[in-house]
Amino acid sequence: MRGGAPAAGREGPAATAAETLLLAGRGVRRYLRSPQQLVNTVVMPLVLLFMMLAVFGGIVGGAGGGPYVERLAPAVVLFAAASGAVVTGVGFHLDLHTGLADRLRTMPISRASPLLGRMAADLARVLITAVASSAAAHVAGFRFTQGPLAALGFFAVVLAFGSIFMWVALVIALAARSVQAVNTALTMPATFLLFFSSGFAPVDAFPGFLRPLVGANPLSSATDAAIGLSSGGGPVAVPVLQTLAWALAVTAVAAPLAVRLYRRRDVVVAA
Amino acid sequence: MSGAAGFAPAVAVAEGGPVNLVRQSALLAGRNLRVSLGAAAVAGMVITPLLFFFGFLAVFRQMFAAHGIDFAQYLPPAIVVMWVTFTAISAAVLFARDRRTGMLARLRSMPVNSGAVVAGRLASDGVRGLISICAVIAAAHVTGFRFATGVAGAAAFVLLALTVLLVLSVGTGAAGLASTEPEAVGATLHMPAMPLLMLSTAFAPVGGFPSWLRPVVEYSPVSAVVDALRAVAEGTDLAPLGRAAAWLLVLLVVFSRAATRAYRRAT
Repeated sequence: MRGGAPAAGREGPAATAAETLLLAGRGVRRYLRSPQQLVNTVVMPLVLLFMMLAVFGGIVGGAGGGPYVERLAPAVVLFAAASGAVVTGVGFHLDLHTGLADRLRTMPISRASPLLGRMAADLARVLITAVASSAAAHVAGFRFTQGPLAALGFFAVVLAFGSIFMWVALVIALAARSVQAVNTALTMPATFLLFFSSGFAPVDAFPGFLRPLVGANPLSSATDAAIGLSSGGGPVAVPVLQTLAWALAVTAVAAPLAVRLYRRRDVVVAA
Repeated sequence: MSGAAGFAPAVAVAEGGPVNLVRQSALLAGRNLRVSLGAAAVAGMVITPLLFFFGFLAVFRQMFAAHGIDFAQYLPPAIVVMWVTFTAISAAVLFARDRRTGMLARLRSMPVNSGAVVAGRLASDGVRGLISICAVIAAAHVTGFRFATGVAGAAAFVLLALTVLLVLSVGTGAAGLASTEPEAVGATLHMPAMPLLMLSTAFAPVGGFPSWLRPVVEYSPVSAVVDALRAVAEGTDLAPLGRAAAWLLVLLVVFSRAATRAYRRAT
């Protein structure tokens, strides 16, 4: 990324990277210091995991006859990444409307840095919640049995899936009028994707007319990939490619849109 | 009333009396509904419960069928109780907001019956809950949910669900009045709500739970209420109704005391 406007301060990719890192650090610290955000993004998904296991563990089995936790834990880790995007959306919306964005614009930094910093902080948040919730799922019997490389692949899949919602969160934060709207616009689709995915039950368990929808759901691809990379209960290559395809497609649509909305804001404020 | 009018004429006449209570309650209930019925709120009241209903049904219907349970008949009371709980929690948020913004203090300074503030709150919660309950029943009917007990059973079902909502609203109202942080009180109440709802017979029968959890599930108030709703819909075994009534009575006593205290202290 090149530095945007000709600013008075240092320019160039190195300066932009330093600014991005600084702003990302701010985002991560704000997240880690907010008990409510930590509860919403780490504790609530775990409550969901343990509750679902208790309620439905006796009725639903795991992939390929294994225990239910082998399916549910990856699904909950991915859902935490998606629903946690609310944190990014709300935080970015507040930055834009409480004066921080304007303040940053008056400073000699690249115009891209606030946006890039927000993205970096979001991906860090996804990784933090993923590591924390997989560690907690260990208690319920969730294991990485496919070796360290597959475990790294697991987290890469979570990041790729998380990036889908990161873009959606950025676009919604730029377009929405209120924090409440940001919240609803992100929570509803995440919940919808969770139910109509292979996260709670395999695709075959759904009624026939829903199977195409469930199969096409990015959360299904990511869950199947994550199951394969953790407990080895299924194929890996195809779902991984599907997840990457989703991430690339959403990025291709949302990235230009986010940049355009972000620039247009500049023009409006400057004029 | 007539005696009270003797020593405090103008004000007591203005705010006391059953007529004022009813009229002012209706007025405040209307105001509460207008404040809380934005497009996003209606989506939350109708679309989200249906999303949960169809979602749970799509995922688990086939697996429950393998265990001999018709999930389309089993699930609706669970979603109704879930949404009744969420409606009560949102009532706490709205109450806390009224306190935070000074609306409550304003009402107190006016010749408004203090019972009307509470009754108006409960009435508007009831209307919001009724919308969700009817939406869930209508959707459930489409997927095969039936009242074996006919129209009378359906009416009893709705009435029982509304009673649960109002009892819960008294409790969440106490929490809302005790708090000045509308967002925090919502988050705090949601936290125990999910385990309570899930560790009950709402979504799966007792037998599906690990054995060490079964006592928790069996003695859960949520189980009592959900079982009672199912009993009303099926009309076979009405025993759960007694357990639900006992729970609701105990909760009502505890919650009303807390709410009265919180209301006196709230400024």
